[in-house]
Amino acid sequence: MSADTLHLIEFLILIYFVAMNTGYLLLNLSAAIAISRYLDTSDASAIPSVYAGFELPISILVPAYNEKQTIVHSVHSMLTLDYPEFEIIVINDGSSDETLETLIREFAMIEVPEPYWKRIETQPVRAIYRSPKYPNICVVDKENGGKADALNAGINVSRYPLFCTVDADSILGKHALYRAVRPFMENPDVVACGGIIRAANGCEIRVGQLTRVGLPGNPLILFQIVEYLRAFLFGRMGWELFNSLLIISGAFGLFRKEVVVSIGGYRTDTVGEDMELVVRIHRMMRERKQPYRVTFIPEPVCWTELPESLSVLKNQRVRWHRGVSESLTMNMGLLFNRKGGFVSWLTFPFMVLFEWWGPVIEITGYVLMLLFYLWGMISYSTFVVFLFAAIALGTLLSITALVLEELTFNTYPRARHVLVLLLVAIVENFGYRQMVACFRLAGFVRWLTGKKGGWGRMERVATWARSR
Amino acid sequence: MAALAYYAGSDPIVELFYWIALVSAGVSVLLVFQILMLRFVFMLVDRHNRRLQTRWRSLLVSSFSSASRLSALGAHTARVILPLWNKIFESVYGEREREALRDVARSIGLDRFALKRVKRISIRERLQAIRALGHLGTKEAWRVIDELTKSPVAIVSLTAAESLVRIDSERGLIRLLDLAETRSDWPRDRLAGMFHEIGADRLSYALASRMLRMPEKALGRLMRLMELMHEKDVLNVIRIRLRRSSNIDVIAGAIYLLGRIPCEFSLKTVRSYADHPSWVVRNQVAIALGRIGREQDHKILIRLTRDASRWVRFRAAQALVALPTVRLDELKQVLRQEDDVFAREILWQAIVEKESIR
Repeated sequence: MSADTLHLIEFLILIYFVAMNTGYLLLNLSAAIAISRYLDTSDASAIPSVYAGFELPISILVPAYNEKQTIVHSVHSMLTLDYPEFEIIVINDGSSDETLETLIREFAMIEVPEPYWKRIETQPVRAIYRSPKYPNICVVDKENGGKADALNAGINVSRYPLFCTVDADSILGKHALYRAVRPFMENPDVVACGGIIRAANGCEIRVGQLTRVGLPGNPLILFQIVEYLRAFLFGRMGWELFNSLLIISGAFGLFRKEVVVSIGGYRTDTVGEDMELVVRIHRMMRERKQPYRVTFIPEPVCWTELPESLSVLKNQRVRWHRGVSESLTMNMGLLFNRKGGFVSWLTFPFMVLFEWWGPVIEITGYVLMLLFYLWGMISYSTFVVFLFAAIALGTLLSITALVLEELTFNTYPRARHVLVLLLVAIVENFGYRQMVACFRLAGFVRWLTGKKGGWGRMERVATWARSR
Repeated sequence: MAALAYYAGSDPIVELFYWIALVSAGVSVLLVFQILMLRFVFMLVDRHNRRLQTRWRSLLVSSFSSASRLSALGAHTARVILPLWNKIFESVYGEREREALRDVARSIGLDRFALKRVKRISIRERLQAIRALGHLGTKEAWRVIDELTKSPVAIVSLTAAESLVRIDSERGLIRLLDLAETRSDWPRDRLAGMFHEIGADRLSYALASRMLRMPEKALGRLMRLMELMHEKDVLNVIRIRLRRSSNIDVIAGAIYLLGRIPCEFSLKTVRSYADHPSWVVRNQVAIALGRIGREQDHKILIRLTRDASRWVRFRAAQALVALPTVRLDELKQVLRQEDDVFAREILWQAIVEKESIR
C-alpha cells in the first residue's frame, strides 16, 4: 500500500471521527436548548391538584410473552397511576408459561365475547377477557405473532384515542401519563410523544412505585446507565427541537391511535418495530402534507430493568441494531426527500452515517489501524494517538451528557452517585464501548444476512418485583 | 505525552488527531470539574434555599393567625420566596388567609419585586411573577399583564389572562372570553380549570351570551366547556345554536352536554339526532341515551347496535349495559330475534358484561 493510500485512509477516518463527534456535540447543544425550554414552561404545567376532566383518555398496551414473573406486579403498578381515565390492555402473545392464567386468577378476569375489530391485520385472537372487579383491565389472548403483532392487537381492542406502549417489565412514574399527555393537550398536531427511560436496577420499588433512586453495584449496568443518559438526554432531546426525532422507545411511548391505524400500525417484519413506526410516521405525514409533531419530554417517566449479563446485553444490542437497519432501509424514501425538511436532510443522513453504519466504520477503523501498526505501516505513536483520540472524544460525549443531567434533573441525588457515574463515563471508553460496537456490528451482519429474530427474549431477573 | 506530540508532529493528519484528542481530554477534565463544582454549588444553594423556605413557610403560615411586621426583602430572598408564596396562596382557600398572605407580600415588597420580574426573559420567572401579581390583585400591573396575553407562548398568555381575571373580575372575564374565542392554541383543560375557579355564577351568563354569537368553529372547540355553566344557560344556548348549526363539533358537543342534563328537551333533541349522517353524532347519541334514556329508547339503542360504525355499535351496546331499565331477558330476547351479525356480536358482549356485573 502506498503512502498516499495510507494517508487517504487516515484522512477519511479522521474526517469521520470529527464529523460524528461534532455532530453529537451539536446535538448536545440542541438538547440543552430544548430541555431549557421545556423546564421553563414545565413549572406552570405542574400536576394540577384537580383534574379538569378534559384530559384525553389513554389505553395502555402491555405486550406480554412469557411474563409470568413480572406481569402481575406491572399491572398492579399501572393501576396506581395518577390519571383520570385509562385502560390497561395486556396482550398475551401466545405465551408458553402461565402468563394468562396468572392474570385471570389475580384480576378475576372473565372471557367476554367481544367482537374483535381487525382494523390492523394480526394473528388470530383466541379470547378477550375483562374484569368486573377492575373494569379498566383487559387481557387479549392471541396466537404468537411477535411484539409488533401483539401491539397491533392491542390497538384493535383499545377504546381510547391515545395509546401508550409499555414493556411488561417497566415501571411507570406516578404522573407519567399526565406528563406525556400534556403535549397532546397543548398542540393538536402532536401525534407521538416519548419520554426518558431510566434503569430500575438498584432502585427501590414499593407497591409498584419507585420510592428511591439508586445505583446498582454491577458495572455492566452502570455502563448502560451512562449510555442511557447519552441516548435519551441528547440523542432524543436534541432531535426534538427540529421535530425530527426518529426513535421513541418501545418501553414507553404515547401515540395518537388514528394516525397509527391510518398508516397500518406496527410492521411485523422487523425487530425494530418501535423505531420503524416513528420513521414511517414522519414519512407518511410528510407525504400526505399533514402538519404533525413527534415530541419528547425530557423527564424520567419510565424505569426499566437493564440486562445484568453479557449474553443478554449482546442479544439486546444485536436486536436493536438490526432494528435500526431495518427501520432505515424500510423508509429510504425519506432520505434526501425534497419535501422532507430536517428529517430528510439532517436526521436521516445522520442516522444512516453514524448510527446505522457507525459500528461498521468504527470497528473497521480500529481494525485497520491495528493491522497497519502490526504490518509496520504506521508507528506505535500514531496508533496510540488514534486510540487516544477515539477514547478522548468518547469520554467527552459521555461527560457532556452527565453535565446536562446535572444541570437539569439530578435524578441521582447523592454526591456518591455523581462520582460513580463520572468514573463510569471515563472507564466505559476502555473496552465497553468497543464491545458494544462489536455487538452492533453483529446486528448489522444479521441484518445483511437476513437472519430472522423473534421476541428477543430478555432474561427477567425482576429484582424490583421481589422488593414489592 | 511529549514524545507522542513529537511523533505526531511528523504527520499533519496524526498531528490533527493528536490535537483533537488533547482538546477533548482537556475539555472533559474541565467538564468533570464543572460537574463537581455544580454539584457542590447546587448543594450549598439548595441547602440555603431550603433553610430560607422553611423559615418563610412558617412565617407565611403564622400570618394567618397574627399580623406580623416584616421588613422588605432583598432581591435574592424575594426570588426564592416568590414561588413559595404562590404555592401557599394556591393551596389555601379561605379568603381571610389569602388576605393575610397578600398583606405579608405587600409588606415585604413582593408585589414590587414581581412587577419588575414580569418582563424577564426566563418564562419560568415571568410566570411566577404573573401568577403572584394576579393573586395580589395589583391593579398597576393590568397594562403590562394585558400585553402579555398577546404572547405567542400559550402558557404565558393563558397565565396572564388568568391573572387579569384575578385583578379585575369584570374586565378580566371579558378579556378572558375574548381571548378564549380566538386563541385556539390554549389547552381546553387549562381553560376549564380557569372557568372552574371563576365559578358558574359569574361565568354562566357571560359565557352563554358570548356563545350565542360565537363563530361555529370556536363554538365547536369550546362547546364542552359549557359543562361549567348553569344548566338553564346551557339549554338556552343549545336550543338557539343547534337550530341553525350543521357543524359536527357543535352538534356532537351539544348532545354530549344534553346527555348530562336529564329533561324532556334533552331527550327529545338527542333522539332526533339518532339518524344523523355523521357517526360522531350518532356515537354521542348512544352515549347520551345510555345516561338519560328511558324505556322507549331501548329501541333506538338496539337499532344503533346495527350501525355501520363500529364505535356506534359499541357505545350503543355499552349504553344497553348501563341503563337500569334494560333487563337481561329483554336483551336475550332481542339477541334471539336479531339477524344482523354485527348487532348479534355486540349484543352478546353486552349480555355477558351485564351478567358479570350483576
